[in-house]
Amino acid sequence: MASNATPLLLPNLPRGLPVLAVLLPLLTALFLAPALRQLAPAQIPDLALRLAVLLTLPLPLLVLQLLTTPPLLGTRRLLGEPATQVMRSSLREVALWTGLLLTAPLALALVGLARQAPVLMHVAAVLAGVVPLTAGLAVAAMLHGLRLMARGRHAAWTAVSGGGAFGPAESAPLLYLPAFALVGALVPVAFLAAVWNARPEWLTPTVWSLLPVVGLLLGLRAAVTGWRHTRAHLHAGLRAVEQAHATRFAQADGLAEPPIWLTLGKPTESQKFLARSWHRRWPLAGIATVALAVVALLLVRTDPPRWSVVLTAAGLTGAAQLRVLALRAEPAWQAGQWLGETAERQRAVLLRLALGLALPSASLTILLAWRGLGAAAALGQCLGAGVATALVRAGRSSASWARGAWLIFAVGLAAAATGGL
Amino acid sequence: MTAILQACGLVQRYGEQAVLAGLDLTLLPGQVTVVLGENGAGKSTLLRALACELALAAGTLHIGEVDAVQQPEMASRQLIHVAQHPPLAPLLTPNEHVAALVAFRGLDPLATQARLRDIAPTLRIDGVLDRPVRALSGGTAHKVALVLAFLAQTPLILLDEPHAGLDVRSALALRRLIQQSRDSGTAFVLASHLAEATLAVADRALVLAKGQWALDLDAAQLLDFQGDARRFEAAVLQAMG
Repeated sequence: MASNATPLLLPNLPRGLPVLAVLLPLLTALFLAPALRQLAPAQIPDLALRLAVLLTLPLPLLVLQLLTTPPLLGTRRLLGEPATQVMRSSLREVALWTGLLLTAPLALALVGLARQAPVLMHVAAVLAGVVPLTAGLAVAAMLHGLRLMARGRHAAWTAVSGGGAFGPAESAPLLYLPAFALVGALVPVAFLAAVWNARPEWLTPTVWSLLPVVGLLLGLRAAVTGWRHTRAHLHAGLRAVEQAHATRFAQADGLAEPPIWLTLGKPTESQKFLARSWHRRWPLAGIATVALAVVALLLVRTDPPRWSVVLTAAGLTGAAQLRVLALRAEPAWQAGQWLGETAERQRAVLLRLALGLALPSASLTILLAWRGLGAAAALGQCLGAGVATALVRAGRSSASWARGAWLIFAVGLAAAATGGL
Repeated sequence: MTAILQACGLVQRYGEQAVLAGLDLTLLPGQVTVVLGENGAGKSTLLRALACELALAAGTLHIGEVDAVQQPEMASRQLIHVAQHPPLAPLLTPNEHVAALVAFRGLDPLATQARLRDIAPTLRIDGVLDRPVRALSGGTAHKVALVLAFLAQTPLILLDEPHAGLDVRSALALRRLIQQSRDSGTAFVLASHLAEATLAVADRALVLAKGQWALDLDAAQLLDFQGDARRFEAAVLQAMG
C-alpha cells in the first residue's frame, strides 16, 4: 500500500495522457470529416443526429457500468500487482475511454456546426450531456485509484470525491483542466466548421488532404504547451488529494444528502434512510436521467418522431422503475427492516421515491401529450411499465440486472433513433 | 413469570435434512441462554427461526403474547437479531442508523442519544459514528450492530456469535453490557462456541446436535462448572457426540 507515496505515484503518471486525450478525438474527427463530406448534403443532418445518439448515448453508460463493477483494481492489488502499475494502467484505460467517448461528439461537431441550426442544437445538446459525464467519470476513476492506493481497498465514489465537494481546493484543477483541454480541442474544429459553412469553396481537395497533417502538428504543439503549463497544477492537485486520503480513517468532508426531486419535499426518516443510501450508491443517476430526457426531447423533433418517442418514453419509464428495483436490492432496504421499519411503511416510501425517480419520464409524457403525441407517450409508458413488471415477476431485481437493463434501454433508444426499429 | 418466548416442536428442513427436529424452548425475562453446537448444527438457523426470518416447517412460536407464525412482523418488533453478518447499510453512518432506529421503533430520541453516549465509548465506536459503515473494519461494524441492538430496547435480543471479531477489551465490555441488560429484564439467546464466555454470562446452556437438544444445563448446573472451562468443554463435546 502506498500511503504518503507522492514520489512513488506521480513520476509514474503516463506522460502521454493529456496528449492522448486531446489527440485521439482530434485526429479521428479530422479523418472522419472528409468521409462524411462525401455524403449527399441531405443525408448529413439525419446521419449526424443518428450517429450522435448511437455513439454517444450508450458509451457513457457502458463506462458507468465498467467503473461501478466490483473493485477490479482491488482484485489486481490482492493478486500481487504493484500499486503503481495498477494505477498507471488504470489511468491509461481512463484516458483511452475518454478519448473514445469524445471522438464521436467531436466528429459530429465538425459536421454539425457547418449545417443548419437544428443539427447544431442536437450536436450541442449531445456534447453538453456527454462531456461533463465523461469528464466526471474520468476524474472519479482517477480519484478512486488514489483512494485505493492510499487505503488499500475499494472506496465509494462519494467518499473519494468528498461527497460532492471534491476534496481539497488544490484538487480543483483535476476537474477543470479536462474541460479546458476539450474546449481547446474544439476551437480549431469549430473554426474549420465555420469556414466550411461560410466558404465551402476554400476547402479544396488539396486543403482537405493537408488538414490532417496540419491538425496533427497543431494538436501536438497545443498538447505539449498545455501539458507544460498545467503539469504543476495537476501534480499539486493529485498530491493534495492523495495526502487527504492517506490517513487510516480518511473520509469525505460531508456525506451527500439525497436531492429534493428524489424525496419530493420534506422526507420522513424512512425516506431519508433509503434515499441517502440510494443516492450515495448512484450519484450520477440523476445526471444520466436528465441527459436521457434531454436527448429524448430532441428526438421529438425528428421525422418521423413516433417510434423514437415511444421507445424514449419506454426507456425512461423503464430506467426509473428499474432503479427502484435496484433500490429494493439496496442493502439499506434490508437494514431498514432489521432496524424495525415495517414492510407497509417501506412500501409507501418506495412509492414516493418511485414518483421522484419517474419525474423526468412523467414530464416528458406531459410534453408529448401537449405536442399531440399523447397516444404514443401512453404507449411508451405502458411498454416501460410492462418491461419493469416482467422483470419483477422474473425475480430479476438486483442492481446489476437493473444496470444491465438500463444499458439495453439506452441501446434500444439509440437503435430507434437510427431508424432501425 | 411470563415467558418472553415460547417455542414448541420447531421444525426446519433444508431439503430432506431436518436442521431443527422438533425443538422446544422457553425464555424468561432477564435470562441469558447460550446455544452451543458444532459448525452446521443449526444454531444460526434456530436464531433466524426465533427472529421470525424463516417460515417454519412445523411448530408453534409465541413471542410475548403474539403468535409469531401468524403475525411474524408484529412478533419480530419485540426482538432484534444480530446475525454474524448484520445487514447494515454500507453507505450510511452509525449515527444515521441510530436516527432510523429511533424513528422506526418509536424510541425516545433524547434517551437513545444518552444511552448511545454511554454505550459507544464502552465498545470504542464513539470515534466512528459519522463514518460510513463501509469505511469501518469488520470488527467495528460488528460492534456498531451490537450497539444498535442494545439501543433498540427490545425485551429479547438474539446474538449470533457475538464475540467473533471482537478484541479482548470489547469482548469484556460486551459481557458487561449483556449482564446490565439482563438485570433490567432483557432476555438473550446467544449462539457461541466459547466455553469461558458461556460460563461468564449464561443462565442456561443448551447444546444442539442433530436437530435436538443434546444437553440442557440450568444456572445451578452451570455454577458447578465455574472456573473449570475445560470440564465444561468436555461435557459439551460429549453431548455433541
